[in-house]
Amino acid sequence: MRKRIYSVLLAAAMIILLAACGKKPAVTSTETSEEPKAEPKIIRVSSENCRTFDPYEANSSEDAFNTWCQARLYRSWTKIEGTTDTRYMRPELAAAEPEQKDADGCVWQIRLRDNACFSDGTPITAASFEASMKICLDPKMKHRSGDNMNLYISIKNARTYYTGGDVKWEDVGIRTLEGNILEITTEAPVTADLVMKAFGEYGTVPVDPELYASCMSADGASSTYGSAADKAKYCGPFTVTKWVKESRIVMEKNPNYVFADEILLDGAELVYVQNVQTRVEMFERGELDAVMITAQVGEQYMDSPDYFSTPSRYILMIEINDNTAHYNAASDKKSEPVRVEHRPDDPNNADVFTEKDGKKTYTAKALDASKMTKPILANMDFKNALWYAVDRVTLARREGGEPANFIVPYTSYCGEYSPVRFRDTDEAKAYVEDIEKSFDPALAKQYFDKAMAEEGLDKLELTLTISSDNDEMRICAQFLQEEFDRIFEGRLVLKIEEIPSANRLSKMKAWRTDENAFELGLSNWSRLVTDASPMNQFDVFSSSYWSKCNAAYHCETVEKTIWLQESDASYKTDMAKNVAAAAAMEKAALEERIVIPLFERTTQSLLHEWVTYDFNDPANVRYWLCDIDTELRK
Amino acid sequence: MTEQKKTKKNLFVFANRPEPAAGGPLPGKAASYAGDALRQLRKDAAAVAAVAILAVLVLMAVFAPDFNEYSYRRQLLAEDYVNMPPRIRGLTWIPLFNGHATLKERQLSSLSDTAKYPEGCVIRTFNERTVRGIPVADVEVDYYLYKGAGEDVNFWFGTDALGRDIWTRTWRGTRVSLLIAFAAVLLDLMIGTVWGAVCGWYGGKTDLILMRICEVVRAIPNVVICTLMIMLMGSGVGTMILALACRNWVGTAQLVRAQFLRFKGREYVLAAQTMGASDVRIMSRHILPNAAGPIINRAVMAVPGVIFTEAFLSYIGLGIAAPEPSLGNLLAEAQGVLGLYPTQTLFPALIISLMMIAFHLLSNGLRDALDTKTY
Amino acid sequence: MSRYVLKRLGLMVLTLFVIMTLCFFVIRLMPGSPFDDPESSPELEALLEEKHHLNESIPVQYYYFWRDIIADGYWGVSLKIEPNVPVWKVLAGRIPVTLVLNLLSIAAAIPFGILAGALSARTAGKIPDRLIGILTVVCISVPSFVFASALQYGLGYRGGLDIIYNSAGTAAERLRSLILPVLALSFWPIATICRYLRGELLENLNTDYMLLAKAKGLTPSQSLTRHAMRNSMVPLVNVIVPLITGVLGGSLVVEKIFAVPGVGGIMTQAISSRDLWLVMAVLVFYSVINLVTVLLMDIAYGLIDPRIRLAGRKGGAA
Repeated sequence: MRKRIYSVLLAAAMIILLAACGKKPAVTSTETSEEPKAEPKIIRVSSENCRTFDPYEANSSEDAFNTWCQARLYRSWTKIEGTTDTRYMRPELAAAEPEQKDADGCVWQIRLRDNACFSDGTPITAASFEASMKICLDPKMKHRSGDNMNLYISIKNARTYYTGGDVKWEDVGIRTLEGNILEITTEAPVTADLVMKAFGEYGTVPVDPELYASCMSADGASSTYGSAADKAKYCGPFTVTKWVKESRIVMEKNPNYVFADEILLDGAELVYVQNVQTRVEMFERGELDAVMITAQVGEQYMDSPDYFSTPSRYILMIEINDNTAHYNAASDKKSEPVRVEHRPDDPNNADVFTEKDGKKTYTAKALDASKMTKPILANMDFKNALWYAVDRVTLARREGGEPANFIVPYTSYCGEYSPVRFRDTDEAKAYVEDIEKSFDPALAKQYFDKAMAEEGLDKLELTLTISSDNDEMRICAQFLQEEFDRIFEGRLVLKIEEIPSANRLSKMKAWRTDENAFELGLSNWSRLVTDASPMNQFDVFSSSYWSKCNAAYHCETVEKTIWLQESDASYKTDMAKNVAAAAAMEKAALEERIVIPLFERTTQSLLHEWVTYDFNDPANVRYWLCDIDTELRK
Repeated sequence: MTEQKKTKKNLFVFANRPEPAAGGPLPGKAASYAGDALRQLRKDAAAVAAVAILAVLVLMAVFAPDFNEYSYRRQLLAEDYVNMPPRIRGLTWIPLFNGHATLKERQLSSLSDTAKYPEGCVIRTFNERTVRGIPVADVEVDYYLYKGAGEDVNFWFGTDALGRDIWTRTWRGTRVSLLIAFAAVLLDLMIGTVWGAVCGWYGGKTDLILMRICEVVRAIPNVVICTLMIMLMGSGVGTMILALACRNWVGTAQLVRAQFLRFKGREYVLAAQTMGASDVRIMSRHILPNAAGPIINRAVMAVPGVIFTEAFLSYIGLGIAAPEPSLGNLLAEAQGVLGLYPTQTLFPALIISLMMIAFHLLSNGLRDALDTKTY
Repeated sequence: MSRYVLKRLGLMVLTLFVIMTLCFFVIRLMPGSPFDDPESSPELEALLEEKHHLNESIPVQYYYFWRDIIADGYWGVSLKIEPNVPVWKVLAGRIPVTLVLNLLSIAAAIPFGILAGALSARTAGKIPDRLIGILTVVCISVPSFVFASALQYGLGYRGGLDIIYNSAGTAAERLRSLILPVLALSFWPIATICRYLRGELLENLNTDYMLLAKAKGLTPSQSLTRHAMRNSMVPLVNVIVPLITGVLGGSLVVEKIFAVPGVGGIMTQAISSRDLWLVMAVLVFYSVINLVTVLLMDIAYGLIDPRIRLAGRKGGAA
């Protein structure tokens, strides 16, 4: 699963910080193990603000931090575990892996641990788990997690129940059996791995049905579960003991957690401090052990032994709404991409359906490029002009990142256990030009003049849509505005449109129906590291990406290759093939300039002396980003 | 009336003075209302100082952005002139303008590395300590030398996070803030005067309804009305002006109405009415000039309020869009790095404070000069 | 008097209705949906809009809005900031903080304002008066956020006082961390009270009864505190009550600077995340405060000057 996250760096930093803190016991145990009365090991870190601890509500990309908290507080059946060499699904609330009960692989049974319980001792039984799932899929409450329930497997009738269809809960494929056993019935055959994945997400964790009901509003449409520390029950490694909104979250080790003995930390204090400067001051005063800082502050502290910088997982890029993209409305990934031309004779420009082998293939909306008010956006020379007009090195220095003229970030590895970065492979090096060569004002001007001549324009005004709550984008936008003005000698006027992220998304998303929804935009795509396949970096660029919201790009090679991958499992297992395919896609995408990559973010932090971590070990960086809890274990 | 006067003048002759007075008519002009007020104002030292300060600020707002070669939006990122401290040649003996800055937690061992710290840039080290076993210290450096900037590079107020000259931005911001303030006050006066005049002149039902509307608008807090306007129209200079004028006019309307009620029964108004002057003419030519004093005073008093509100909206993220600076924008941006780069806050804060003080002093002076205490 | 108050109350409710209607339409006309989220399917967005009646036409939504408030006292739940929590509950934790900050600033300002005002009047025309006069102008003019920045830098970063509000601490710690924001906010009310009191006292000092007091052999200080002050204190209410709205405006920014988790901070958050009903609640909160202040002022006027409550209030008192 991919996450498109503006604030991913915050989450990443949090993870790093807490992961780093896990080292504290290691340090203290070697140095102060003689002392019988060790102080409780509590880390105090700067954090983001948390909205809710209701596991069914918080699962939106806007609050990476919320998701992060949930991962500390809740557990479902299983959890992805492992180190660099071994990765496996570890049963947590479940006693063992699910058992297949029919020939096709549609019926699965799983037994819960007998001692599974919440932090206050309330047992988690199969029956209460089923009740939890009923709440999760409640058609009245419409939880976000209900929407994600079918991400990996399609539970029978679950979607219909959730969307308010005419289905009773008894017909949904989740059932309690004797002996603390749950039975899952799916609509199509699945594997044990997928079942575990489906019940390893935060959205499928159990809640206490009684507490949930007691927090329910009169009309049964919303519950305040998770809106305060004592309004939720926790079954993960930590519990929340104190929550002062917009200020502090105090977490304590959960003694009733299945693997409680593995947790080294006694607790954590997450302090929400909006102002970076204040964070640093609190760090210097010793009020915080680890803080995340911005590039501007990082510049001051970069020589400090406490300063650490580590790559994040995404690349900021310019999106150009050139109206070449197609939107796959049905998101039927099992279909072959067909280029759909706009048909002027079609009055509604309706979705186009094609039947092939009795299967619906490719449902797409074709847009009418002739309706574009700024046709220059689709001009190749113009895209080239933008490409060469960005001084990525300077920009990256200002933003505290690494310049990028490629799409796959530096943190992408060739396979889950491989220490080889995709960027370091020969395949990937073959086509990426020298970063110095990617900035050529003279060439950019030349391309620009050509494009303007082709379009018969003298002066051009374009709007760059950015998120008003993202400082990084703001700085970047102002930089681009100034550079374009200088390089194109005032002929390209870039107007910055700063709108709140929610508003911005709906504006950019409208490219599917409106040819002029936006002109230029800044965005970044990021992904979970668990998905260590370089190829997967590209499906956000394909029309089959289900939540393709502001990605208005189209590249034939990407489209075709992603489709091939969907039907050919060997791409996932054969890394050489995967890397080659990813390289081919990146090469084509870069040549077609479907986006203008700018720089790759780094996360900068200040950590106190006892908080140590080897930042140079690539495997470990990846490892943290997957999950930190194991890091907290012996 | 004038006709009559002339005849009268001819009819009466000074008995004991056959010739017109040797000195001619009385020297100087008759003391007009405005003239009198001005004379009063001139006696008020504080008000004179305020006018002088304002004159300087306005002149600077107009011309100062062009005093150096930098523009308000040019980013000196390629040169890496980011967050430069202020330096003014000739004034380097003042600590504020010597171009020195403190670098935090530098490793002592690297200080001799001339690639990192060009020769002579380290002024002193202090606060020496060890972090993770490595000796570190805070280092005061000549930041211009440190960044490799020559003698001729001087940022009088320093630069911001994008390497933009704060001098230019501050004065341009002053210009923008003043512009918004003047435009908003003008708009407020225009709406308020017409509204108040109509209320006061026509009275009755019209007055009742219009004044009720005023009362409702007045009850909406400034914060709410500005927020709503910006939510509806997006942020920008135009919206800002509208948003700021949007509630203030009520005060003007109430004031003008009171003035009209006061003057509409006067004899000269009745006379004008009898002579068939139109309503508009009476309102604009006969009553309004009499009400001018309090209105002017109110306008001057409103300016600092508007400047404050503009800054305050920028602070909470509802201000005008980048890269256009306003004093509020500058302050809000600098607030984030107050501890590290206090000078970025200092200059805009000083100017906004000076401006507000000057407007207050001026309005105090005007109030005394126009003697509008009773209104 | 009670009839007058009732009449004013009625007018207040009417005004609130108009304000809320205005707010409702502006909020609903804002572009963007609270449920726009790249992670959720378009289907969920539609479902959520349906759940919260956002798919209906705006007049119908307006009807629902009032129906819910009048029938159930239901003002809606927060959609984004604290999902599913009724909006007033979201604010319940924040309103006290904002009120404490503001009232504390005014409460702290009153004694200092009175002291400065009395001193200024006592030494009218002399150096202390001149000094206070200059300080008054400075305090009235300089925006509270400039004070806040200066205090944060001088006393916070450099002086070691709390830089931000410590909302998780004990009551004493919280109070201590309020020192700087309260200080930043109280300069303006101090100056306003001082200036007003000075004027009042000077006027009183010229009255006949002051002459009598002098004749009785009271020292100037005695006559000032025993007679002039007493008479000047009553109208002081007229100054202090409107101070509340004035301080509230400045506290929005001061709250932000000192990270005080009050109502101010949540407003911008709610707007940018399109948390519709929370925006509404915040705006209603500010409006009610404003309306109550105006009402209090009216009542105070009525108490002091009976003519007003007979004639109804004339405009221009703000």
